[in-house]
Amino acid sequence: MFRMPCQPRKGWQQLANEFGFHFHTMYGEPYWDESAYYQFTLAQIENDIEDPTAELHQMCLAVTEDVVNSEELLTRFRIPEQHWDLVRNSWQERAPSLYSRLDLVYSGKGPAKLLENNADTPTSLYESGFWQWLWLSQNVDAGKLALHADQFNSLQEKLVHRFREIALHYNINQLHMACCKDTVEDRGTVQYLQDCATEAGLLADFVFIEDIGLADTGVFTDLQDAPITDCFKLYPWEFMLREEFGDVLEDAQVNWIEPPWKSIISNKALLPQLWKKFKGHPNLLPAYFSDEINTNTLSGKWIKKPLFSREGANVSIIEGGIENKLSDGPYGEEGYIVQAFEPLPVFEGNHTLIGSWLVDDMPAGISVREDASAITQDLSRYLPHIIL
Amino acid sequence: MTDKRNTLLDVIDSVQGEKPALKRTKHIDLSRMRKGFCVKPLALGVASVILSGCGGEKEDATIYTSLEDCKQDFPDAVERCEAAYQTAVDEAMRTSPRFSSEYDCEHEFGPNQCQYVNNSSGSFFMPFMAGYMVSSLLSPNRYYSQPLYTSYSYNSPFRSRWITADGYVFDGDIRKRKYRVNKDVYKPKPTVNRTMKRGGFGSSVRAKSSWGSSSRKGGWGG
Repeated sequence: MFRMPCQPRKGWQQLANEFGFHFHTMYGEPYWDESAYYQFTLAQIENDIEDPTAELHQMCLAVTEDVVNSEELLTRFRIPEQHWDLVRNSWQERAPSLYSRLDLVYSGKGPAKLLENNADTPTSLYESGFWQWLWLSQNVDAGKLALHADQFNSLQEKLVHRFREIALHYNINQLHMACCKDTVEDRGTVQYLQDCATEAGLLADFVFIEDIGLADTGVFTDLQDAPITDCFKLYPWEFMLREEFGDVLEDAQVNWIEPPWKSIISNKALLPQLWKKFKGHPNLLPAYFSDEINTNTLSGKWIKKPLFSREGANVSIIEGGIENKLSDGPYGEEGYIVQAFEPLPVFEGNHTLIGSWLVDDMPAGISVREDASAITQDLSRYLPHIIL
Repeated sequence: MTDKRNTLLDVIDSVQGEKPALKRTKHIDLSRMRKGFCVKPLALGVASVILSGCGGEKEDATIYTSLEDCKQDFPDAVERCEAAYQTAVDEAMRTSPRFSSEYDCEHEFGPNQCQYVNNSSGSFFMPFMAGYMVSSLLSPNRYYSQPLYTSYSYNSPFRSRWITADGYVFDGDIRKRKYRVNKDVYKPKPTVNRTMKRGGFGSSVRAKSSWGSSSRKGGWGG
C-alpha cells in the first residue's frame, strides 16, 4: 500500500458537472482529490481487507442476534422500549439490508482494525461506486495507468443486483427514497441509489424526510399524497425512533431500507459487545462501555465516543487516566464507549482511513479518505485507489 | 434474500473460495449515468400515474402531443382535456429542467427546442413541453396529467424518447403513445384519503444542527 502522486485528468470538473457529481468541492475545500492515488496489491485487498470485512460483518450480525434477544442489551443500546418489537420483528423477518461501510485502520501490513460500523446511513457511495471507477477506466484508456490495473470496487454492480433481490422480496416495482433538505452530499448519495434502483427496473420516487406526511389512513405519504410503502432513508434510526412520527412507525407498515435492526448494528455500543463476544480477534480493538470500567485507571491511549455520535462529535482522548476533549457536539446523553486508540497510518502527512463496503453481506469495495487530523474526520478528502 | 447469518463459517468459506478475476464492476453504461440537467428533488407523477389507482385494475395512460389529440379522443369531455392540458403546462413551468444557458439546454434537447423564461422564480432556459401524459381523465375523483419532454439532440440518451421532468425515461420511442401497466403483479398500495400532517420526521436535524458544528458536512450520512 502506498501513495502515488499523479496528474489530475484535464477538465474533470466539467465531467463531474456532466455526471451530476456536485459535491467534489465542499465549503471551498476540495473533497474529491485526484492529485494522488493509493496503490494496493491484490493480496492486501483480498487477505487483509476483503476477507476480514466479510468476517467482521458476520460477527456484527452475531452480536445483533444477541441484542435482539436480550432486553438488558436493548436497553444498553438505548433502543426505546416502545420500538423493541419493531426492531425485533424486522430482524426475525430477515428484513433485507442494502449496504454498509466498515471504517478500518490499515497501513498495508498487519491486521486491519475495525473503528466503527456505518451500517445505517453511510455516504461517500457515489464517489466510491461510480466516480473512482470512471477515474480508473479513463486513466487506463489514456495509457496513464497499466492496462491490468484494477480496483476493489464492485459496488454499482452489486447495488443494482441487490435492488433486484429487494424488489422480488417485497414484490414491488416502485419505492421511495428520502434524505434531509439542504445537504448536497446526502442528496447526491440518494440520487445515485435512485439510479441503481432504476437500473434494476424499479421506479424510484424521491421525497425529503421533512416532507413525509401522515395520512388519515395511517400510512406515510409523499408530497403528491401517494402512499410510501417501501422506502430507502438516508436518515438515522436513532432519530426516527425518537421523533414525532416514531410513534406511528408500527402502523405505517413501511418496508424500510435500511431496516430497523440496523439501529443495533450501527450503534457504537456494538463495539464493546463485539469485544466481549470475540475478545482478542485480530481485527478488533479492545472496547468497553465507559460505565463498566474506571477510565482513570486505564493504561495507554483510549478514545471515548458517544453511542450515537456522527462525524466525530463529542470525542475525547484518554491518556494515563486523563481525559481531554477533542471535539464538541450535541451528543452524549445516551452514554459513551471507550475504544483502544489505534493511530491511522500517515502518508505524506495525511492520516488515511479505509472505508470497506458491503452490499448485503458481500464485501464490495473500498474508499480511501485522508484527513489532516489524526482522529476526527472533519475535512477529509477522497482519493481513488488501484490494485496493481 | 440470501440468508447466511446463521452459518458464519459457510459464508467465510464461500467468500474466500471463488474470487472473480476482476475486482471491479465490469461495465457501466455511461450514457445512463449522465445528468444532462440538474437533479429535481420531486416525487413527480409517474409512479402515482401508474400505480395509485384502485387496487388490482389496469390503468391506461395516454400521451398527447396537442390539445386537439385529446379532444379527438374525448369529444364529450373537451373541458377536461383543456384542464389536463393547462395542468401540464403549469406543471412544466414549475418543474421543467432548467438551464442557465441556451447552449446547455440545446445540448440536451436539440436545436430550437428551448425557450427563455424570466419570471418570479428566476431567469433560465427550459425545453418546450413536447407532450403530456393523461390518465383517468373521466374519473370523477381525479385525473392525472403531467408534462413530457423529448430530445432532438444526438448527444442525448433521451433522443426520441419520452421523459418526465425528473428524468424518468419511458420505454419505446416517441411514437409510442399508450402505456398500460398491469398492477396485479405488484403488491397493492394502501389508500390515502388525505394527508393530515407533515414534518413528523426531521426534528433531530433541526435540533442537532443548531449546535455550531465545526464539520463542513451538513448531512446525516456518515
